[in-house]
Amino acid sequence: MSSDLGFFAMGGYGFYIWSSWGVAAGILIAVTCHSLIRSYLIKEQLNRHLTDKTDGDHLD
Amino acid sequence: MFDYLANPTRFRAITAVIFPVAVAVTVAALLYGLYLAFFASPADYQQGETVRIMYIHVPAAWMALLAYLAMAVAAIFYLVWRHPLADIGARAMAVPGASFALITLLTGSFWGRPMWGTWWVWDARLTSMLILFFLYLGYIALADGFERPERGSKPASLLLVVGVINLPIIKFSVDWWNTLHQGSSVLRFGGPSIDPAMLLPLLVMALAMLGWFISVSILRMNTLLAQRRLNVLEIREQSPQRGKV
Repeated sequence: MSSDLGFFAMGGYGFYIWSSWGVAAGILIAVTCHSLIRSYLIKEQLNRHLTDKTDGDHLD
Repeated sequence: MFDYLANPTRFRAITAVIFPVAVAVTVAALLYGLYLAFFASPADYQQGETVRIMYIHVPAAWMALLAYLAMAVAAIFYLVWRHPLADIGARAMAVPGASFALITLLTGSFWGRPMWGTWWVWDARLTSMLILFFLYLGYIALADGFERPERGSKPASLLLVVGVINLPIIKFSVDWWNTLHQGSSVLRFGGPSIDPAMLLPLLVMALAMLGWFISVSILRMNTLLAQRRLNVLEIREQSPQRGKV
């Protein structure tokens, strides 16, 4: 238990070390999620568009 | 080579192979890098445990410079040969590149506070890195600031090429001026001066970040290609007569 606390305390610099890694992880995860969500939405929109067009052509 | 890649279908086929490899490299290197950074590498004799910030700060700085250089090369291809995929590539790399610059600045502040006694100083290295971050923001604003995205491509590409002058300034700022920031200990003439026990986690984390950068850039490039295709279809729909020609 005390060794765990020692690990997280990082010799008294825990706040600076964990904040650095936390901020970096937050930025990288946010950009990854944004890229994945945007990719999904645009491809969904394009597929819907192409499907609608095919259906429309079929009716013509 | 670039003409070969200009075909979007061919480009998608190639990236479909590269993407899973890049993701696998990212995950494997990240897990190994985290183990090395937190458990296998020693504390520094002067800076103590704060040296662990280096394993995220330094690779992020390398990647911020590399991403900008890659965008500038793409911008030259776009300006000289009007290669549309080069423009899309530069746009796709902008946000991941800006993220690396921001991570460098923020983690540098978290490292500077306990070591230098200040969050920020108008030091040559820090200031030139801040300028790089602003160049990224300027590029993103310029490239996306027009209703038709193609209109922003030329001015944004010019900004990228002009901004390349900042890269050697960042790299050599610690040699050219008296700075609070420490000098290079890895990419320097005469080889790395850093201990191998600290060099290995640094390189493994850099590989993880490179893998992430390639994965996210490919993902964003494919999204931009799909977006452009969607825009063309919408324009054709709005003017059916022109679409039939």
